[in-house]
Amino acid sequence: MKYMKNESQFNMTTLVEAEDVQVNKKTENPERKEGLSKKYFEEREDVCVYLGVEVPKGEGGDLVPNKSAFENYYLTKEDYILRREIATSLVLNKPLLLEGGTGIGKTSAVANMCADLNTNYCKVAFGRNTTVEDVIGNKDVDIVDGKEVFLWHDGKLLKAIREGGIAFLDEYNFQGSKIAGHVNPIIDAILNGYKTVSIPENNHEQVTVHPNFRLVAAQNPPGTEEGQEFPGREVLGSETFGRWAYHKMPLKMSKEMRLNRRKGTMGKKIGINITDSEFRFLGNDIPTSELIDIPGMEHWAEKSVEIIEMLEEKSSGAGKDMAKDQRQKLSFNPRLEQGIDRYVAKFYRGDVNQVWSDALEYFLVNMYKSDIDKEKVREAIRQSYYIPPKTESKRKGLDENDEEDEEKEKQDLIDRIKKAKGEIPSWIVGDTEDSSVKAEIETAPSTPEFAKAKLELQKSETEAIKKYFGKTAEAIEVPPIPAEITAEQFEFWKNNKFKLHYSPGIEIKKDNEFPGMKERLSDNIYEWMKKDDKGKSKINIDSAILPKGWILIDERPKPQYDNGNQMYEDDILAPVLEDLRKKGLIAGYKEKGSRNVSNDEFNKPEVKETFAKALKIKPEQLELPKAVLFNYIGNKSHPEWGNTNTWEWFQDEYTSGSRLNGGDSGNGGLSYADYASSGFRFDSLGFRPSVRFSV
Amino acid sequence: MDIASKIKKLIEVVGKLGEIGLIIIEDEKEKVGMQKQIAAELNQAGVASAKNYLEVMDFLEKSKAFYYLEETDKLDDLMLEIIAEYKTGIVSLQDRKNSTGLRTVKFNPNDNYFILILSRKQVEASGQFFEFIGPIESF
Repeated sequence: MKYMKNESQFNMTTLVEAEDVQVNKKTENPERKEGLSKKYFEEREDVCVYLGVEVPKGEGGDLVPNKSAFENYYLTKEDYILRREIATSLVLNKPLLLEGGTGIGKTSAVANMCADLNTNYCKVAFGRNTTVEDVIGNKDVDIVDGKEVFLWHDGKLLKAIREGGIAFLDEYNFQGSKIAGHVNPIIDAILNGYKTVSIPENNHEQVTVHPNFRLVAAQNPPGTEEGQEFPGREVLGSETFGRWAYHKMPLKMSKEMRLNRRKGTMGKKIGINITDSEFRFLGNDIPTSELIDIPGMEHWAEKSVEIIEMLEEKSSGAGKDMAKDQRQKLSFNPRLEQGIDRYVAKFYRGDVNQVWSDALEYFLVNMYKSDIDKEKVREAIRQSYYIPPKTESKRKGLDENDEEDEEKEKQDLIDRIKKAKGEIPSWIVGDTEDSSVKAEIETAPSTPEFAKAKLELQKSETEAIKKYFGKTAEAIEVPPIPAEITAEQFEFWKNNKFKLHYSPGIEIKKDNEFPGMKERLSDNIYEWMKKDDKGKSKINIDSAILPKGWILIDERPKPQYDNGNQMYEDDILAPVLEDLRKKGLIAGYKEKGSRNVSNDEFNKPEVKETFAKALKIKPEQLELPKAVLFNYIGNKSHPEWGNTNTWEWFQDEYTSGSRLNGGDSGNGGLSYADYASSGFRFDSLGFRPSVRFSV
Repeated sequence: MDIASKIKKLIEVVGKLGEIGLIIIEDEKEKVGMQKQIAAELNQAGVASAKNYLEVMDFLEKSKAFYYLEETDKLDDLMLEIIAEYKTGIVSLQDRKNSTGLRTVKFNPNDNYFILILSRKQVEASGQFFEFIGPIESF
């Protein structure tokens, strides 16, 4: 059976499709570039492409489902991601075990993909009274040339093993299944890499496993999860578990997914937002034995072992820190590492950090249910990024081509900033010495317009403070804008969404009731300021006191979380961050210009110096806002900072090695403050520069 | 609403949804009489009767609406297999009658429907099959 091109129903359900573009400039295979597509699903003559993952089509067979069965099936983002994960398992030939609730689309996904891929679909339901005849096969008496003979008829599993196809083992961990005793020895042999399997029911016939035979299994969690009971499911032993790539899925569809599916089925056009970073593209399929020649692979091989060991320690035993809410015991054996290596070999396209992040996301992050656990694994991955040493020729600085490259890079950076801002910061194009900034400050002439603007700002800030503090404001005198600020700086900051605010240096007490204080400062701040028996507090005891003086602060909205891809609007610091990453001063990240940095990284002298140059200030003036300042300016002028679910670093130190952060709308928005190790980077955590001026 | 109207309504709904409908006979004492009445109404509406899983597979292959009345104590295991795979549009079972090996039928579930008839007692004795069922009517 041969399906015609463009016959797929998915082309109709793909509502948001980008143009075919090259999404990975680092590819080493130009031939592949032409085929890169950002369609969520694409069917070609010989392959089907699921979010970038190309799966070769099969050879057909009696058990290939009809595509028409899926015509009315509306695909949500989660459905596309699930298909991508199954597709990855198929191309890696690594069996995939999906654990999740009933009705979230596992069976449909496998059957649908078999129809697309023109390959046999063989479902074996361990939880039902499926018979051995139907699954393995049976012998029947028949008359051949007048003689009674026993003829063997393949069941569906055996048919798929002989002819190729996907065997979908449903309710894999169901205890007491009538067919498990017949099916499991066959599956075990295949999982152990045997090329032939023995069929006792047919006089131990040795059946050769077709190279296109693949295994996908699904199960409900053993025992009770989220109050939902799944009786009769057992915890798989580590030996069985370790043969699979294990993906933990939700127990039920999210409300959003349910609604989208219902509305989509009813014909409503629902936009599905799948970002570039959620696509996966196959690479050159480098032999695993040659990976070590690629810079960074050895680094990652070591780091991945460290990560796996850390996860094994944290995810096992009675007092485990991770996977606490998962009954199925996680195990980490050498097969897992082989799977990761195979992924890297298959998907490597020139970016070593990218391919290892994706591989570890597929094999490790997906093992965990809670977002917190997932984030811990991702953080460990990010901390392990490979930073290549500067190339020898660049160090010499004599190579003509390198000089050209450097010049080109610089020009690229300038062009991007020009495009984004319409102006070029002097720190890139001109003299990059601090003294130049100082000189600009000292020599810039004042103008009547600037004098007027300063007065207006002083006046408007006085009004804003009155509104916020009410009667208390009577004791607050807003001083003039500091003389050190030049007209050029003033204009530059205005154009780049930085604004001066006056902070009156008063203490925000726990019981203060100010008219403008809609969102109170977190109670945590007051708790952490309390001294213990030894007279020590967790944070500085002046943490509830606002700084005194004029503060320049980045006024951009805090972005909404988008799987770590969120960026600050029209961000002047994006090219700067990208440059810092290129130089290895801050760790790499999927979005090169992202404000995803640790507090330690922000406070590195070289980093602060670079930011300071970009913002036309002195490095010693630059800091992060204190929690109390973020709360105050947020209440006074920017309530929207508290309405998004990302976090920002604060300047406040919390005991040794930690810093405060907050702002997450899910935890209290402007009111919220928490702490984290200052070296950590979370994909929901950014920063907002603030600048202090002498009083 | 009388039996005829309820059945007519059920046929209309499952026909539009392309799903499996279920009729439950609540009173075991009246089971036989109700079965006859329901079967008569379905026949009248042009819904064919399938006696076993092979006939069910025939009707699926022909895309013809049918009903299946369970006569044993609980839903037949092979019927459960068919019901569970209905939405994937492919059912593959050994042909036990003709001994011809695996029989596979492919169909478009969106273009057809069928109705199961079970008593409450049979429903309770059967394995988990409700997750695969669409509209339900009880008498």
